[in-house]
Amino acid sequence: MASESRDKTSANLLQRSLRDSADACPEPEILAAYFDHSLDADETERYELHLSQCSRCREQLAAIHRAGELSRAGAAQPRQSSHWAWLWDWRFLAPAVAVLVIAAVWTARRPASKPVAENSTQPLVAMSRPNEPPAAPFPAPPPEQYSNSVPRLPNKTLTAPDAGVAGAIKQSPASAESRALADEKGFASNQPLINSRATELDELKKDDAARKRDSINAIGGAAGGAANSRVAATSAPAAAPPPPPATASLEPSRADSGAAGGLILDQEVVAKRSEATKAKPSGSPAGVRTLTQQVQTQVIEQSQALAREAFNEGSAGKIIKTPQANVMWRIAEAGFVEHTTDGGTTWQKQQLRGFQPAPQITAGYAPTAKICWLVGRDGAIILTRDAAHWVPIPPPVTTDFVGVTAKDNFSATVTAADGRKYSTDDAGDHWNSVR
Amino acid sequence: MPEQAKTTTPERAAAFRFPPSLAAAVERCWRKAAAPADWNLTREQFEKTLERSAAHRFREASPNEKAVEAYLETLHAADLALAQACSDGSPPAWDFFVARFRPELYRAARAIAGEANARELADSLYADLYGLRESEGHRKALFEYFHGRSKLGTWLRAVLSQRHVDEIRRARRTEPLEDENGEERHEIAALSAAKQAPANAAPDLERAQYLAVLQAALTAALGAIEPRDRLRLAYYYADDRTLAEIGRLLGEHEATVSRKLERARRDVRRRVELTLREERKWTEAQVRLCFECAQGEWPFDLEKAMRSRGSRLEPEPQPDTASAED
Repeated sequence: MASESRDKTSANLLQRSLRDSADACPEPEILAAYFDHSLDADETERYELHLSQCSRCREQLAAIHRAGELSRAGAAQPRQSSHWAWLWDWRFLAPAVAVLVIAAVWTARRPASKPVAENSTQPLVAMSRPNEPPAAPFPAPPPEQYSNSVPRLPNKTLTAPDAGVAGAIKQSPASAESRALADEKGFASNQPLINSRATELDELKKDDAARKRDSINAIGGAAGGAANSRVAATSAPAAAPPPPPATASLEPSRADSGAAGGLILDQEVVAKRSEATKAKPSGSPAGVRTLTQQVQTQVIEQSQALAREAFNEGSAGKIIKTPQANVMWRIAEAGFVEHTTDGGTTWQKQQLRGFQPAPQITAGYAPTAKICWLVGRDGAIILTRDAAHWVPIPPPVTTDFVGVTAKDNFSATVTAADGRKYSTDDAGDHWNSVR
Repeated sequence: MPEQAKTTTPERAAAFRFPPSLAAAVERCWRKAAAPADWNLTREQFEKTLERSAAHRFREASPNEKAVEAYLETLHAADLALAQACSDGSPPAWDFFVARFRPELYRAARAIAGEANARELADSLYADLYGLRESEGHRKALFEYFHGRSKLGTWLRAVLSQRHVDEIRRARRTEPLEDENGEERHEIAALSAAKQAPANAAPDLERAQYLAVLQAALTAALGAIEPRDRLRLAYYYADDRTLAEIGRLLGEHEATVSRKLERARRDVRRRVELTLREERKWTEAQVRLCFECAQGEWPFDLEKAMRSRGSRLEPEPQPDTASAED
């Protein structure tokens, strides 16, 4: 018998055999739970067997599917016109966004393509290598050494003051030793920066030589008293290294200077130099180093301040816009948001009920004028579907959330304070981690 | 009232009490529910709701605490709290339900019943949800049949679907015997013809025996495959659905459906032929003859004929959750 005819016979037999059974039909909640994948494995198998034997239940399930698909389509945002609908298709959007992100990261992390101009007066910030932690503050120099604001400029050699220096190593024909030191420290990769530093250092040599002559002629005498050797560091409150001991002599012995080839400057010169380099912190490697620390410190402090502000004050006053220009929400004090339908002329306060303690909201997103998602501290995720009543959404994790985007009242992505993202397509019943 | 719900009597629910060891699980459910204070739903009331839900789930067996705890974790607590508060008649809860679910309900009704019948279908559901029906002097809201096993929205769509499908099937059974031309419908004519068959027609006993054996082997083979494979076959052969439709219903890609259908068909055929050869000890010639017999029209296949016109004999449907109490 030909295989084809046997197949046809099998099909006919199957059609007759898959007839309704006499088992009792499950109630609508079971069909609904099957649709929602809420049944356990045994129940799923049992009811699939019944479904395979009961056309009535299959018809009901098909109707549930139909209603579910159209309900979601109706609740979703209106799409772009069909002409440009392809642009919003995830199959185009996802790779396009990925390419943009990669390009942005590459642009941000690529090394500088050209060195800074020789006579540039812009402050130069010594950068540490990407994977290195920020340079540690300079330790207090031992008393017998020069202050760090006064570079030791040997005639032939340059000794790097400390391991904390990053990128401020001269590389010039006159300091092969410094080049070797740079290699040893592993800063060879900072070649463009090193070149610019070399130029600056040459100028400093000339300046210091001139000042040396002036000081010896005009002042003379031993150093006395204490001077703050850290020029720029004095203006950096958080990261200022301690000044050298008050009684430290800054005047090297003639023997030392002779051996090391360093400058001989007394305290007043140091003080004057301090004032001078305050105005031109970029003019010295030490100034560059301290400026680096200053910038880093400022960045850290600002970030911390922003974080404190965001969490402690709940981003109060932050506006959440909707597609309708006259409809907006505004984050208010803990446990409240404000709603306007007249473009902000008047605001109505809405309480976020059902939370103990009152939630501190940090961000929100409104895909329509009626739907708004809010996120905040301690796992707070709240949703309104009618611009009036707010319901809590179970969070993926109990943590502080700082961002949210949403497509409709089912689909949203939340961002935790540590950068992790979670998305849901069923209003929080299930969450997926987003990479 | 459905048979399943009949067992969830107040006495049965009272007998199902959570032990203290489940207090933490109940507390987690209560927190997930996060019912607003103005719904006036207390924790104790919600715990009773959970007990009713568990009693309904485990009515056929006595579960252990772990099973109950695992069950509680799967519940849609927020929806269950809303349903209970609405069932208790809380106006703020009802307002919330209307604001949240009314548009969705009407969209679902339009999708299920079409534009013409959507409003009637949805409005009738509202009345039952509010509890306009009374049984034994007690207002019974449809919400009492929701136990949190699914989302409330999905449950509402399921109830709408059940009502619509049952109405369609009732309409099929009451179709007139004659069409507009006054002619008997085909299937009734076939039945009449069969009854009027000449009494002296000799039955083909051998053919009937082959078909009976084949049918038994096929039934056994279908019972041996995975329920999901059987469901896939039912969608394709009994419901005449396309691969794409089956894929949507089962959450599979069309190609996956096709591949699995083919695998299931091969599996069924292999089992049938194995049964005929190994158990019945039939030869290849006998197996071939058996299929040849089945290839022709099945005698007196009234069901097949009626099925092709969409009006077959079907078992009585279970009463729906609202009308069963009448």
